[in-house]
Amino acid sequence: MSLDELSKEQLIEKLKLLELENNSLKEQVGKTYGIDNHDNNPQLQQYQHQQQSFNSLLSSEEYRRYGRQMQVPEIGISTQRKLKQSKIGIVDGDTVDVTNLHRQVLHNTETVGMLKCESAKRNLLKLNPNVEIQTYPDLISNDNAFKIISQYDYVLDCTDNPATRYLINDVSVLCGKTIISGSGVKTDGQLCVLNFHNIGPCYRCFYPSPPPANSITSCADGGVVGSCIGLVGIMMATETLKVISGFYSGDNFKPYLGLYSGFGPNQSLRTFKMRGKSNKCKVCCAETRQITKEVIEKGDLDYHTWCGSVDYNVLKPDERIDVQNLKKIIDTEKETKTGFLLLDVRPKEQFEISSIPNTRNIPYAKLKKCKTLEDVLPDYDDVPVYVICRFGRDSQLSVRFLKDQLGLKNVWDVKGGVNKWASDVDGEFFVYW
Amino acid sequence: MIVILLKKFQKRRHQAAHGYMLHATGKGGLDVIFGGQKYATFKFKLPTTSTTTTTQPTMQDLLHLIVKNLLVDKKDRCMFVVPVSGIEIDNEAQNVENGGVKDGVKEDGEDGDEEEEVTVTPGILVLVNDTDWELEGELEYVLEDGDLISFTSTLHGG
Repeated sequence: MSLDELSKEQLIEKLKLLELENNSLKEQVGKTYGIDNHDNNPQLQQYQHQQQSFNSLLSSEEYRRYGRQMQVPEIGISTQRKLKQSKIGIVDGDTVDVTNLHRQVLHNTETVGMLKCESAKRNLLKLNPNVEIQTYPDLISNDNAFKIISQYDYVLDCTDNPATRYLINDVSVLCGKTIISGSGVKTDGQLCVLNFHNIGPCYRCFYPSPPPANSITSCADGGVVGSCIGLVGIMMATETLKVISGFYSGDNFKPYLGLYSGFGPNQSLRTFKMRGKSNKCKVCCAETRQITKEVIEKGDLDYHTWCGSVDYNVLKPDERIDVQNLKKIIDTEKETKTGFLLLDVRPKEQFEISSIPNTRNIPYAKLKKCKTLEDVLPDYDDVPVYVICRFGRDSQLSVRFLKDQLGLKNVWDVKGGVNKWASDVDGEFFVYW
Repeated sequence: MIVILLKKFQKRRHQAAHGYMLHATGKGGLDVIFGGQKYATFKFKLPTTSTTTTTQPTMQDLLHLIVKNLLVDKKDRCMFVVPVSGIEIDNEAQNVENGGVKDGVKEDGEDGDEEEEVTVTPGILVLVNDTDWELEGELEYVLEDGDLISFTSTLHGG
């Protein structure tokens, strides 16, 4: 804030402040020469207090900038001053990818390849240069979580996997921070406020143990509609305002879970009354606490191991072929016509976006429900079967299943899926990931 | 999410309620466990388990009924069943017509093999009307006419 932007009121405040600062500096100089040995310098304290209230003062430009929301009774100038005093920290070690842009509106085409936290900072400052933003270009981890989270009052969890959500929860609870949590996939979203001022339930109270690894759908796998997940983000912002402003209090805050559904018969937000703090919680209940700062920082709790992962490594080397081999098989077939079947096990929607010609699509989710080979391939006539998916993970599980459960012998996995096919064989294959 | 609406029905007028009509709707993932049907109506007499002191059917009965009669695929049982004794329930359901009312009342829910714990696995939220089922007594919750029971999975993406 430069001097000529300030109102008269602010200039007087600034003057008083400088006066105080001057006095306290004089005292400090005196201290170094041993003239004054007071540790609790009242003038220095007063200076610090005044400095804080000065930081909450708005410039005349800001009165207009925030005017429309300050007029709203629920916000008012008091909340605006609190916002003015606050600082934002952004933690993300990832870089902007073109697949993020349809939903992560803090980034744009120009910032593709840039660190996400820097790109976000850049665009936020374009929107409002008065905001103080600190960036942390790291993924949040057992090592850095306490150092980062302890510096802030509120935590917005915008992450995308259970392991990170548990980590953020545990550290925030142990640091006494309120979490505003949002998530979503496809056209649905979920929203809640966790560990509200240490009296509300935490993520572990809601979900004491992680879901089975094979039941988790990520945005990369399941897809996500930008406008739907965007709404979840906007709702998180509103909840954050309500926490900062003091709208939520110990008396009126009731644990809830909001379920947003974008593509129902109507769009809907249903809010469910949820359980309170659990008296068996391993992190937020003092009597039953097993997870402590020490446990986390020593790495005794490995969140990713605890949440588990699907083991895709279920095939022997001779049960797999690479994409070059597949290319040869396809080319030879044109002359020999001995017949083979290429089975693509991606979800139907992905298969429809782009696929290798003459491929049959049977999504893995559907395949694994089949009880006989007849269910999968009614017209099967003993030709070799090659199974492909996007990255070569579900295809391995499919081959194992076809062999062990349905008794198909003549079947191989295509290593690396259509991703590898696109990069090594067919440069014109449409890559949507 | 699967949403099940319970409506009492009577065999004849002026008779005590005979069972519940289950109107199930599913969307967004969980519907696949009912064979991907979006809407279906089931008519079942809800059995009462021997462990329940009340004669009113409870949430436990509803889960048993879902596991025994409604799941199209046995593999989906892991969503509701936490194996304790490992008893295989004979699932001969899949006689539900899409969108239609299944004729006749299923009576075979009473021979209960209750050694196995039927509940929901982590990651599935159960909601009774507008409330987390934990606040309503979980498995002991006594079902009421007009109840809306929802099963939804927690989301992690973002």
